[in-house]
Amino acid sequence: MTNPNFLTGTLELIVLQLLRAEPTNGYDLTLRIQALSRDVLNVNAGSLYPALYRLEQRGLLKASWAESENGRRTKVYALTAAGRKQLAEQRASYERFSNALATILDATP
Amino acid sequence: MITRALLWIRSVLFRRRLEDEMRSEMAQHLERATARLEARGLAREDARREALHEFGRVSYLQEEGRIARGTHGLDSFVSDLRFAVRHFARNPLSTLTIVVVLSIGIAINVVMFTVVHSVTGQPPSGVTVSDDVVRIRGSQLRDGSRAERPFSLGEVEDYASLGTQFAALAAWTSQPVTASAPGVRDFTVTATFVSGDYFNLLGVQAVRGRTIAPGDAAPVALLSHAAWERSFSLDPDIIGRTILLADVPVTIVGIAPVRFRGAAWEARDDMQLWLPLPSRTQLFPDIPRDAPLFFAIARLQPGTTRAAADAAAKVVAKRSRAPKAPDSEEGDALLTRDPSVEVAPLLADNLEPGAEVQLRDATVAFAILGMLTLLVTCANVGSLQTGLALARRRELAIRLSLGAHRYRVVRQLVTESLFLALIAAGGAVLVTLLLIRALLMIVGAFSFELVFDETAVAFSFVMALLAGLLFGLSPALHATRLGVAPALRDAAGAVASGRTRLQRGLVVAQIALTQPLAVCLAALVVAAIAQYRDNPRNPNGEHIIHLRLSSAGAVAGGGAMARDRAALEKEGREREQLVDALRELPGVTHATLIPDRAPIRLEAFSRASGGMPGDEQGGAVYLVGRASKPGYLDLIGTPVVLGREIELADSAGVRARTIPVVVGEDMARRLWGSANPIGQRLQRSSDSDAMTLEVVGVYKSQVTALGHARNPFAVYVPPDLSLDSPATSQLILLRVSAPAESMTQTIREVVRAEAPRAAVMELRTLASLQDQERFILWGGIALFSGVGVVVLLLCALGLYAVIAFAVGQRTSEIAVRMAIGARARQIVRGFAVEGLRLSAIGVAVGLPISILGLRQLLSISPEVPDVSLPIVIAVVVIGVGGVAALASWIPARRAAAVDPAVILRRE
Repeated sequence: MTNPNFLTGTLELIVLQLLRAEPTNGYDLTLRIQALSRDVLNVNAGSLYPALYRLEQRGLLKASWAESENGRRTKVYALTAAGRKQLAEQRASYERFSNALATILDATP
Repeated sequence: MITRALLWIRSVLFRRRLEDEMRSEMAQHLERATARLEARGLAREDARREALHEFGRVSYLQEEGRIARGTHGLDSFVSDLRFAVRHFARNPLSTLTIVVVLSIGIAINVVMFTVVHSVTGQPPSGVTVSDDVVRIRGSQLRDGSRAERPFSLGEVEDYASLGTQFAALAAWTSQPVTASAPGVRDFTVTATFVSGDYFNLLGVQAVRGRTIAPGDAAPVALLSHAAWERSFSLDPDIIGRTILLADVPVTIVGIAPVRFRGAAWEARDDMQLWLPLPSRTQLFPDIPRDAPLFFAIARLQPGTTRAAADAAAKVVAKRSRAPKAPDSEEGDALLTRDPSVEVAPLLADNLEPGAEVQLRDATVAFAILGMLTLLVTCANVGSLQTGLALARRRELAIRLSLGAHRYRVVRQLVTESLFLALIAAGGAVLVTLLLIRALLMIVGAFSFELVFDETAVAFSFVMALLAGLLFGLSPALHATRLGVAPALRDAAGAVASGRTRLQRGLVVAQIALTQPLAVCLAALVVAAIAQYRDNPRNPNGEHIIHLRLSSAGAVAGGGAMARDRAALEKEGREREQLVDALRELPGVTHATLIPDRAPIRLEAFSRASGGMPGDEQGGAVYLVGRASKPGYLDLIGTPVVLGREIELADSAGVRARTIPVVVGEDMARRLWGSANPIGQRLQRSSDSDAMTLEVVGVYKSQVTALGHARNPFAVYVPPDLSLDSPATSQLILLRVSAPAESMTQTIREVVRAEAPRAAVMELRTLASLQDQERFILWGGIALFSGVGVVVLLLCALGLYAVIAFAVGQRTSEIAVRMAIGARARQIVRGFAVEGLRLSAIGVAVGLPISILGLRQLLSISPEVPDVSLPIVIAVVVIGVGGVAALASWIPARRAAAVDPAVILRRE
């Protein structure tokens, strides 16, 4: 399954958006992205983890170790206040961009 | 921003834990992926493989993770460092040499920095002042240049009235005095009488009790910490105790901080106390009020500048009532000429007029010297580094060919250099501390506090980093510049021909520059050894006691300008009475009062009849006149064998310009042979300064006294011959039959009874004084020789490195030459000649500088014997040449040890 090219720029947005709902670990994030995009987007670990570390290093995420339902300790990521703000900004700018794109695509036959 | 910095610090600090977490996180991810695939019906093995495939390369991902966290640079730095340590552990000798040479080079810089920093950048020890506190210092014209001149109280008041410039002003004057207290041995302290604002201006608080306050008039004192410790054993009940100063009871009201020594350096031994200015007349009623004895500091008014204050003060100085010199018997040398004033920053040691200009010049000279030292050090170390890098060119080439970026390899090499430089910085700090200790041991004390603080440590590390870059970058660039293929083929010749030229130039410059230094050091060592030889201990030294007394109203450096004839005569009578009383003491066999003056130079005398014997240079003799009085020659153990000694009546001869002298046996024999020397005359016939010496006696042998070295041309003269150097203290010599130690307390008591205002400045046996003098000479010899040896070694090392480098570069050429029949001796000679050629150029270039330096040295230090100068130069040239020959022969010999078969097989 290949990903559309725009994924690179929007991975951060996706991660932030998904983590806003609830703190999640890396593996579940990949599954969640796959499921929510109805198998269109497949994020591999090689992109996801560096993105998570970068976001953590920038203070947008906070990682902690938590017990999972099967009783194992897993690392879960949660949004910080700065992350929430960043998400709102990125979301607004993405919406502006996608509206603009849609306008262009609609205006020309 | 701050959050991100904190996060980065966290990821650096907990690197290992984060790595572990990352690893287990990824392992879990893999495990769950495998389980998911297994659930879809894949076999466990296949599921695992598929999961791994999906996941990608784990190590790559981990590196990506490190990059994301920003710590990957640190990781590679750590591995560079680890590599460097392993590399140096393999070459311990070269590494040690590099570190030692660098340490010395940096230490020389740090010592100079410490001195400059201490003198120019620090207020007086223990004083915390802001920039608005300034020194007001007086000057006068003397012998064509401006000399220090203290103020009278009237002048101080004039400056204090400059209200628009100075918000507050404080003045002080110092006077040594004997202190006594019940249960304490009498001790000598320097009493400084200060005006009320003194301590406010200096920002000094007492560590116990209080300081001297503006309202104080009664005799109360703030004791220096050293005096409290040494004389009162840190007595906790010191405040409120009464001591006697010149027989006046004084109450101690406070203890000064440990490091505080006053606004100027008053006392070498730190035995000090401070009293309110009004109490001075109680302790020293004889000193006239308008005597110019005062120094001043002031706080500038807010809004004014030092330059403005300086200009205003100069105007005041112009119309000042600087007192005419009193009717002094010292002649017009003490008249005040063209008094002026300067407003200067308050530094540790800037009492001299124009001190800041001198300090600035010294700083520039030190900076140039320091840079040269660092450059030479880096050149030497760079040569060694290049040698090491050359040995590693295969390793470097392989790394480059495997795809390492050149920047990466250069960074590796520079990391190594910086690593060494930082170790050397630590070494330099140690060496500096040792050098400072050695200096303090030899010199005793400086007029300023040598401050080795965090600034100096920081400086040494900055110097180290600079040196590390300087000596590391160039070899690193050169070693990696080469294409991979030639390096792997071992084409050494191509490595760095440009570098060789630079290196050779530096070695020549180094020899040229170090040679004058070596010459001057050698001259100083020769002079010190000669002085040591000419100052043997007096055989009776244990039985001769030096008792030095202060002269009231004398200012160190300023002379005895405060006294008038009446006061001087009174003091003179008092001292003679004291000597009589001392002579009466049981156990004292001789006692005599000698004005404490430097020996007088009596230049260019010739025989009154019959010219001079041929062997005296220029037909004249140069004599050293030493003050003598009846009994003095007997006392020091040089009895008169013919004629008589100097008598009191001989002073009349001084006024008539026909001076009676007692000459030595050797000199008498040289000048007059077997003829009777008594009544013979020596004269100086220059128009301006005619003088005749008449021999009245002959002393037996050469016995030394303090400051009186063995000298066949020493003559004893009446004490009042010295015209221009006013005595600031008097010296009483005692010859005792009892052990000197048991006499000191009795002597002190007699002094206190007979001359209560005279302070005992020194009470020691001649033997201990001479031992101290000889120790200082030894220290000088050791220091100068040590520095000389280090300088020569550095020189040798530079040469060695250049030749070793050349040998290493030309190994294959040597192998070919030997394969076609060249003999080992020819090869060795080739390289040795190259080394000698370089050192010969260096010596030739340096020789004129050496001679110039030696002249300069001679002009400032007459002790350097000029007779042996050509010999000194010859010795150093031969010495430098010898060291150079050795330094080039050792690596050259290695060239011949090359086995052609081995080398050529490698080609």
